[in-house]
Amino acid sequence: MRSKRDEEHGQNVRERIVKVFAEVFGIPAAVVAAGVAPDKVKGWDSAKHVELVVALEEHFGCWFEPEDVPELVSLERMEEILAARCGAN
Amino acid sequence: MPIEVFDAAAPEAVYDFLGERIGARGRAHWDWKYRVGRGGAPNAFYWRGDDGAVLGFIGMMRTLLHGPGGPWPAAWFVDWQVVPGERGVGVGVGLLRKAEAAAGILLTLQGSADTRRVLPLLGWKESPRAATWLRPLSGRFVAGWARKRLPGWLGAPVGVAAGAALALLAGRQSGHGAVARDVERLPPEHDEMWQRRCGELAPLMTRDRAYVDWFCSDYPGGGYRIALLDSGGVAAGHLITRTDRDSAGLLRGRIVDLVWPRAHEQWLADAVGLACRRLKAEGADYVQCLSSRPELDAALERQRFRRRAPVPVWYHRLPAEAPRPDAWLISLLDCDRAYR
Repeated sequence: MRSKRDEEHGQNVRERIVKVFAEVFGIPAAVVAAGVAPDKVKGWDSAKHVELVVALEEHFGCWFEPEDVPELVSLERMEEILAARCGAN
Repeated sequence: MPIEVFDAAAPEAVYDFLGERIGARGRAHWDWKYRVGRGGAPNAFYWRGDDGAVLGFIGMMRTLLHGPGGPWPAAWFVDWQVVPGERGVGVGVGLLRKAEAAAGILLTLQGSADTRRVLPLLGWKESPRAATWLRPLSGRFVAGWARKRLPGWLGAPVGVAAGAALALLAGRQSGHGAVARDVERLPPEHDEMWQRRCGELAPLMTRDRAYVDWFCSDYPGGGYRIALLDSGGVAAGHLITRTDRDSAGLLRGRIVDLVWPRAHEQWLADAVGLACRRLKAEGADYVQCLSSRPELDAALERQRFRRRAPVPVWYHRLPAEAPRPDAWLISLLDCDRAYR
């Protein structure tokens, strides 16, 4: 069971992901926070995905494994992978 | 694991993917190119979706970069393709990272528009030193050029006049001693020469007989002409040429690779002239060469080549002690275009 402190940390990571995503795609954070997917966000192609991957790595100071990269397509998966690879939680 | 090694266990779907996305070259071509079934380190990877569909592919042509403090393992990445649309998002970068981890120094030459768009985002740099050079050999080539740039009525006479002039110039030799000896495979004496010349020509990629024979003599499509270049009866270098039909129907001659004694600039210009005469005799309408070094640039200029498009070398994470790509000797042998 997650403590309140854990939830605050988790929320903090989610907020940071939202902020990075919003900056890369140039859309309001409130829109991002409602949920993202490649078929819902305009302009989310391969090159934009690269920008997102690099921006998340720089922001969180970590390195994604090759198999992680295509998985970074929802806020939930980004959070899970950041927790697994970078200890971000 | 969605990323799989392209080896003898690869399903037919991988060959189908390569045939559809890159070109219908057949299984024998892909098995040769990536040394499938021959053991050793992996030379290519593909991405398999949960439903078994192939979503992407990346290949590597492994080599060694020779230079002071080296050699360093390196690989040119080629045939980097993903399925279009949402299923391909992120697959290409995942495959590229897999190749980076497997390669040592990972490189590519020129790249597609998509490649050139993505690589800088991943921190790759480019060295613009290398370029293609071209020399017309036939009136047919010049007439085609003239039709695009001159009034229509001038095209034909310009082609005829240029053809006569080029025929006269093509026969000239200065006699500084480069003599070509055709071989089907490079003999052992070639590697003695390579050991001597490697230090002179470094930094450059491997040019031993195992490497050259694999990429030229063993190429399933054939078509490479390999010659030892003798000087005073001793192997002093090698010359590899090839002819192909281009998209305009002209016969394109290529100087695929040239190794020469570095101390003899005139010898190098002679070797380039010799290559042109051989390609002219085979019916080539023009000759193309890739040059990355000033001494070869000078020899090409002396043999009436003109510099055309740059062919940037893209690189990432070079060891600090490795020479920068601006200094490397590279040729068409180093890049995939020679095998398409």
